[in-house]
Amino acid sequence: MSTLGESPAVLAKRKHVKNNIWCPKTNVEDDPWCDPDNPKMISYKDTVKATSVIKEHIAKTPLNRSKCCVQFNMELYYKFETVHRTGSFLERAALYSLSMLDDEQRAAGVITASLGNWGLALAYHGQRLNVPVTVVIPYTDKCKVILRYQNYGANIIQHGKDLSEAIRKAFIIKSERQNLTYINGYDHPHVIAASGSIALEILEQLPQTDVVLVPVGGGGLIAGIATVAKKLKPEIKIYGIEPKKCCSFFKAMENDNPFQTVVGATVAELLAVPKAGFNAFYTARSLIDKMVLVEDNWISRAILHLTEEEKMVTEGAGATALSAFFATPIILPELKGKTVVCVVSGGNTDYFTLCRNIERAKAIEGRLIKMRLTLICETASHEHACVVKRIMDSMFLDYKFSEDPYNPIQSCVCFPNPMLY
Amino acid sequence: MSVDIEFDENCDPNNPRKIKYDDILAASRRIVGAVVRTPCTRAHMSERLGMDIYFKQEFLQYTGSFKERGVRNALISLSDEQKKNGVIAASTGNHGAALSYHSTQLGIPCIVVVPIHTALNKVNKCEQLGAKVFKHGIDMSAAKLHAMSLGKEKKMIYINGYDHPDVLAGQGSIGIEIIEQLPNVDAVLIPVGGGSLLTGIGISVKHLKPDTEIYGVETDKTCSMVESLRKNERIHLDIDSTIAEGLAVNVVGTNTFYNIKGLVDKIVVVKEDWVARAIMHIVEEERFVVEGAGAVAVAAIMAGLFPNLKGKKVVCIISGGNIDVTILARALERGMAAEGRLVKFKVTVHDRPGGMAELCTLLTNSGITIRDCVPERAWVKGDVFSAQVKVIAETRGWEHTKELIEQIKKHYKDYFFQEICDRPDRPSVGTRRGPCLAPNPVCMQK
Repeated sequence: MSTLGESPAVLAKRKHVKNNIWCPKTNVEDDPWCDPDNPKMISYKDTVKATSVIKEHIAKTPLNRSKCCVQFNMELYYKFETVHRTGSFLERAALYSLSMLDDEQRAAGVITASLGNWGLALAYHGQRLNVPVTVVIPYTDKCKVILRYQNYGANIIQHGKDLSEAIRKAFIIKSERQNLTYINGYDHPHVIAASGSIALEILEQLPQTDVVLVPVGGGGLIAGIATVAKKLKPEIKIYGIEPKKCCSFFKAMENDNPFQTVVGATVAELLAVPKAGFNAFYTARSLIDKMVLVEDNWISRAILHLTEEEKMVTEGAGATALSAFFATPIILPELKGKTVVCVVSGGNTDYFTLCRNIERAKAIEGRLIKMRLTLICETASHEHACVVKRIMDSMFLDYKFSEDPYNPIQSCVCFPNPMLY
Repeated sequence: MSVDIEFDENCDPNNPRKIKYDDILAASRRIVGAVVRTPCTRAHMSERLGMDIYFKQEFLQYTGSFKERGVRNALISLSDEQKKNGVIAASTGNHGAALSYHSTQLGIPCIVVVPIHTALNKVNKCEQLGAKVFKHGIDMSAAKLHAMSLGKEKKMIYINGYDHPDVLAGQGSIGIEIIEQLPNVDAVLIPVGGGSLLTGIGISVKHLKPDTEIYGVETDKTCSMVESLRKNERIHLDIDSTIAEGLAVNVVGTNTFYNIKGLVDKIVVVKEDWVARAIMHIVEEERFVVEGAGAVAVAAIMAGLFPNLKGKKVVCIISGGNIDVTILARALERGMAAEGRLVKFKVTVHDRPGGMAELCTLLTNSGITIRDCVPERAWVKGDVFSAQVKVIAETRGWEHTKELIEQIKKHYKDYFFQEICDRPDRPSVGTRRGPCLAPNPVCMQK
């Protein structure tokens, strides 16, 4: 179903929300680039322009064949966007949107709200192009993130528990300092156009692509890729993969309009965008062939697979596209034997998250089991028992003594032979 | 007349083979198409380390390591009868996997003998790639002995993974690729186990661009080549467990030892802790998963062992990526601890409602992340109402850790900080994150 949109006459008569005297609420979140009443559709030409601007500074990212094509029963390729300096594809968008600012805007600075990757990319390129950058991120427990922002000289503010609150705060700051430019990381037309450059590269490197799997957060990436891919090769299929716990784009497709959703905590934390982007939705809704929802467990397994087999470190969001193939039961049987490209969008994960995902994936695959052993030790005296306990303390993290210290029950983790798929 | 089991005609100490550049050129032609021509890309950590570092990404090969090149060349060069009988090898993993993969591709029967304590995933890998795997021996020497006797029995050719002349020629193809991809390279840093990479790349690079500096890197636990060169004869080194398993070769190869003289500018030895830190930095900054052996070159640069290369174009050979994920996790943890970003300490708090909450609030307000917080009630000196809480926390660096210690000192009387770095003699490089690590800034004993 596709409409021609509102007629120009209707649009001309549309009045903006008037300030009611009784409720003088001003809409703080007023972004001229991402107006819900006036969504912009990105065209192929915009993408080509974006590509030519960023080509000098950003090298083509590798498109590697998977080592496990036989296992997956298809010609699987990965587009690794993890090799960028700040570790995600958003560098392309950051460079392009900053390049498109005029000198006055550059001197004044930009502000944005981000879950992590977008702000980092903007900070890095802002430092290179001498543009002051302010980033508002939701409260995070990751020390490393703050450190990285500081390394790139960005002004960082933590506020709010999810992206919506951070966006709101960013707009409040912008209303106080009028000359800042707000750049939406998943919906700004320049961001979408620059993301399309990935599709240009994919089709150059692998013209015989049948399907492209794209992770979806706010929708910027898939909008850009879909625009280009469908223009260059109309029979190509574009699938959007979203985590079940934060499926704002999926819900927007169902509802035919983006709306505010509640996002849960998920492995793919950088896709936790509560409200899908308007421009992205408008651009992509008739171009996406299928939206797929995936469980967190499958994402963990995908992270483990990419670490072990392809030797690449990815974050949850990056592994989301591949996770569709780790679903049980199989959810995409129609892809057997086809040439499939998974976009691995980013690799910014910290040590704890990575280890926890790996452990969880191993447990799911049956490669990690937990055993409880009861050891009955006879000790010479109370002091001896204390010594034994101290030894246990240093050897095993997780153990319990029952009431008397003469019957310790240890619980340790062991690694049996891996389960064959 | 008893035949010496250990006698391998290709690696005879009395008749060492000289490898020529022509052999390497021929090898590189033979393996084209079957082996990945790996990219040599600039590293993001170049600025931080003060030189132009390029990574030759050999972990992108199908079995995850560079060994495929030598193996493919050796297999193609066998006579028809030798191909029918099959090949055998003793290997800790990478060579075995490469041999299994290519012999299956070429239709040659293959047996791999591994030491008993080899990691599970390596054994399974060889089996899945089509070889028969036998487990024998506590270390490589014992496994090798068994493999050679088995080989003589079944008339299979023993392919030495680091000493067979065809294998050496195959590894040299990396050198040709480096010069093609980066014509003005200044130095190449190569991990050294048995010496095949060093020899092969050394010969090819020195032939094509004689002013390039060739450096070998070993860890302090696997320094068989350094010791051998020092004593001017091949010595046997006992190797315990090491993070760089790919370099754990007890005796270096005959042919490699013979060919190396005059080729290598220097071989350096780096401590194992630096290897763990290098793995962590590569994971964080480059987002590649590398094994210990693959990270030693970067570790040597990070440890400040190459001050003469500042500002130069340096290629590090990332020889492989086959690391067990458990060991990866441990290496990351070690790396974090060595950088001062992981702190372990014990504090005695009041065991009343709010006691632990107070501690946690204090920690959170300092901006650190608590990863583990385990209370222990009995076996604590002091009054019955106190509990000792063991905390594992993540900080931003040494400075932040020092602040944390100040905070704890102010609010609590009874605390104990784990010794994090206990090697005051280690040379350190001033990283952007903080001052030198040598004197223990966080070691406090109660």
